[in-house]
Amino acid sequence: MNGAATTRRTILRRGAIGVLAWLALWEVGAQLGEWIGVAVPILDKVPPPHAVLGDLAELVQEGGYWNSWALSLQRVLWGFAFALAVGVPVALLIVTSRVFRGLVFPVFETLRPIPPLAWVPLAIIFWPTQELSITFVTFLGAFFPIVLNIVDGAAQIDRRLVLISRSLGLGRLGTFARVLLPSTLPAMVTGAAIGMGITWEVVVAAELISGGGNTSGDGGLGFLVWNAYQGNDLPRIVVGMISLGVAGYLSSTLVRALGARLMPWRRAA
Amino acid sequence: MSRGEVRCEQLSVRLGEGPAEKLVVRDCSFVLPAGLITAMIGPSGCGKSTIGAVLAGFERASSGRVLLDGRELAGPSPKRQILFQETALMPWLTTLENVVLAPGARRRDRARRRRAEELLERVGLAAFADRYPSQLSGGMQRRAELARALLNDPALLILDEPFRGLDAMTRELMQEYTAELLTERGQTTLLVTTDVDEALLLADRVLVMSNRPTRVREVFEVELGRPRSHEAVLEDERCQELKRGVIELLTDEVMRSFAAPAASAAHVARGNGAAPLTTTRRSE
Repeated sequence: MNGAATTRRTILRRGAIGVLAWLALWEVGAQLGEWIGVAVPILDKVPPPHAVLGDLAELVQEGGYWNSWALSLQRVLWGFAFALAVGVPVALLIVTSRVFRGLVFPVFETLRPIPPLAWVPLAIIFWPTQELSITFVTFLGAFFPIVLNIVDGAAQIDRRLVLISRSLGLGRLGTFARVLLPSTLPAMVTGAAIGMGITWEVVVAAELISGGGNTSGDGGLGFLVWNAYQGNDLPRIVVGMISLGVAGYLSSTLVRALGARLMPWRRAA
Repeated sequence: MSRGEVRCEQLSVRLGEGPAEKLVVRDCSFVLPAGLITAMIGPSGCGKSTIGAVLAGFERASSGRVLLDGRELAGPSPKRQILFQETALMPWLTTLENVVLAPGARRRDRARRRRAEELLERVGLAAFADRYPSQLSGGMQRRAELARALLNDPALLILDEPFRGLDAMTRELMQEYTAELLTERGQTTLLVTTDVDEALLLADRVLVMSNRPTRVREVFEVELGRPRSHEAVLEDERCQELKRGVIELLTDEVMRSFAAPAASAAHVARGNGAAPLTTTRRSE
């Protein structure tokens, strides 16, 4: 466990081996029918990696592909940012004020189990633009996990720390800033990372359902997948899916990395 | 500078609400003389910690009153500092940040800042000022908490089984260390403990507490100069005799706490108000 550089290199190497092994399995699985006449079920229907990579190489030269990225990313970021901006204060109010909790929690708990996608039809109707309706649904996807994680996290606060801060004379505001906020920070980061993952799931589905964008491929990554499906372009479907996976992975990693920066005491051991 | 005399008069404390309400302390009276260390020893779960919590201002008296230097207590105050069984340093603050956590200490008050650094020096943590609590050993964490409490110049220091979580070696060292530090400062202290040796090492007076609902059963004076070492206590005849006395009382209280549930069970079984099983109390 000594030497952070070695550890990081090892992690990277293992990751690379994992990806390559996975690609190799996929290639073999997809091609076996052609090579020896024994088809692997399901995998046989999937385009092999070399075809997908070929398609990807073409796609990355098209502006439309990157437009799709930008568009989906934009929707995700706005939705996520609003979810943080609204969710964190709401959660902290629920945690600190019994009155607020009593007023808001029943409504919150009723709305929470509704899948974000069930909001799509309503969102399309009551938001003036399609962009806003998709962003709204994305917001909902991140909002609930963020609030819920913070509320749960606050329940784990060490009561003795609150007592100590009171006996040191910190007052309500001081206790909030010095005990409650840092105590819930880990839950906040977890909630944000989960929320970020869900925004990607939601944005794609919302793009699929709302069917926005034009056929040149600038309707977001979800629409790119949908469009490829309509055009029966199998490799392109897979490229779209993998792009989504990478996007989700990268953004959750970024959220966690930023979170770790906010919590230097967690790295110290 | 001797201050911090505590007078506890007919204190009763009820905890919990509704059917879960329990009388934890009943008509308990005692004095903590200023400048001295008083140990409070009793069976575990008897309600000693509740008394500590009342003195710290975390719990309220149901009846009776507690006076500190003649004034009745009202809520928590920097004048009354407490150390819990397990470390209660803020994990997100460094050692120094923890020590100067009280608002008065954080202001741009050079003198206080210097006092904080001196205190850290005194408890041997100057080199660890910028570390996080997770990077400190158990003994260091306790010392950081002592420094945090003492920076407030508390009239009363409450130590609630403060060495319980430490390993045996560290515990002995910390006990002697704390004895020295508190004696040097003339700090009025309440030491809540279940450990007779710890009480004899640190305290001027030992209050032996009864079972729940607790009250003072007997008071012993420890007539040996402070600070003491573990050897000094072992070699002192009076101390050892006192120890036997305290243990005898404690055994008696523990036996009662064993007998009590058995008695009430018997009571239920017989279905009448017959006398509980008093015979089990004295048998050994």
